[in-house]
Amino acid sequence: MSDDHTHGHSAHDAPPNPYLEKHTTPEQTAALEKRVQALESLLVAKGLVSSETLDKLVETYENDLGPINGATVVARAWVDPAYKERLLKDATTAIAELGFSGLQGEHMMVVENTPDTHNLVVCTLCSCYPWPVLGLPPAWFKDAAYRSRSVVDPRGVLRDFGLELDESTAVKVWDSSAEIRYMVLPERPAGTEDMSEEELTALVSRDSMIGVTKVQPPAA
Amino acid sequence: MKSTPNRKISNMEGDAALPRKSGELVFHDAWERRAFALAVALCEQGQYQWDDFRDHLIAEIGAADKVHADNPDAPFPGYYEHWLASLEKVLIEKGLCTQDQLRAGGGEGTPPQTPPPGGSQRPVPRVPRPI
Repeated sequence: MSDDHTHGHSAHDAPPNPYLEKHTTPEQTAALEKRVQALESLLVAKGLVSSETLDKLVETYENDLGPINGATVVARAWVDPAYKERLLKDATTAIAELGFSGLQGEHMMVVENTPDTHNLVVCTLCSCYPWPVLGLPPAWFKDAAYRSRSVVDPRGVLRDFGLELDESTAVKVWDSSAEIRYMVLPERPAGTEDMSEEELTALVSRDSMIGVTKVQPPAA
Repeated sequence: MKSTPNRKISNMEGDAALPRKSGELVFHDAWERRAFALAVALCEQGQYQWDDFRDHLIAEIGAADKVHADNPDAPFPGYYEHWLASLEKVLIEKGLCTQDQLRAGGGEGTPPQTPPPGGSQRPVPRVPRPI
């Protein structure tokens, strides 16, 4: 484990993007506020958009952004054995193949859940997280209790998430670092044989790719 | 309205990639959020294809980068200023708004090309910069 690991988030973010800083003066901002307000009013008057859907829409992109990429990767691996093989061998490349990238220098590793082995991902030192595939880390992922307990009592942690594993199932804990970010390939639930890749994608939850839950079969 | 993000939008790469910090979308002001939502909503409602919008966005960003490379003192507009200009252009292109309607609201619509600094249309030679 390298020293970088203790540098926290800043060392793990992408290189500086000029657009992360604000570029407008207060006067420009005020003019832009008016310009967008006028545009919205115009489009609402034309019946092209409604103000309520706009609010909802931003929330969708702000909150749900990431896991869909990971879910897409999982669903592809479920339906395409050759892709799954590539994914388990070299996740960084296989994930980029689907158009998802964004990590800078860190490698992705995908670990497969099987009936015999359950995988759980943690970052014990900070909160390294494969955000290009999983979106924003949930608050509990950064919680000191989760970070320490996952290592000493993973079964207890899983139980807290409502997942009771057979004693015969081995639990492997993967500690993410600045160099390697892990993602779990969950087991495909029974009863999903006839589902399309798109339908499967919708089943895959963020938590199942961190390894704290399994993918639930579709509601009957 | 779809409750999951459109991957074509959320996963844009290169210069057009949405500004993010640790994965989180970065908006500085309310108007940026609003402009984001307008462009996405109109696309999701089928008023245009996302590529129609994205092509404008890439062109806007590319043009601004070039101006800035030639003249480091030139103003450096933010991502969502390019976004807004692209939205206005695609609205006109698809006949959803007229330029006059946009101008009435303070929008620039498609302003005439401003000449590069120095007032001439000839290309400004690029000075190689130290790395």
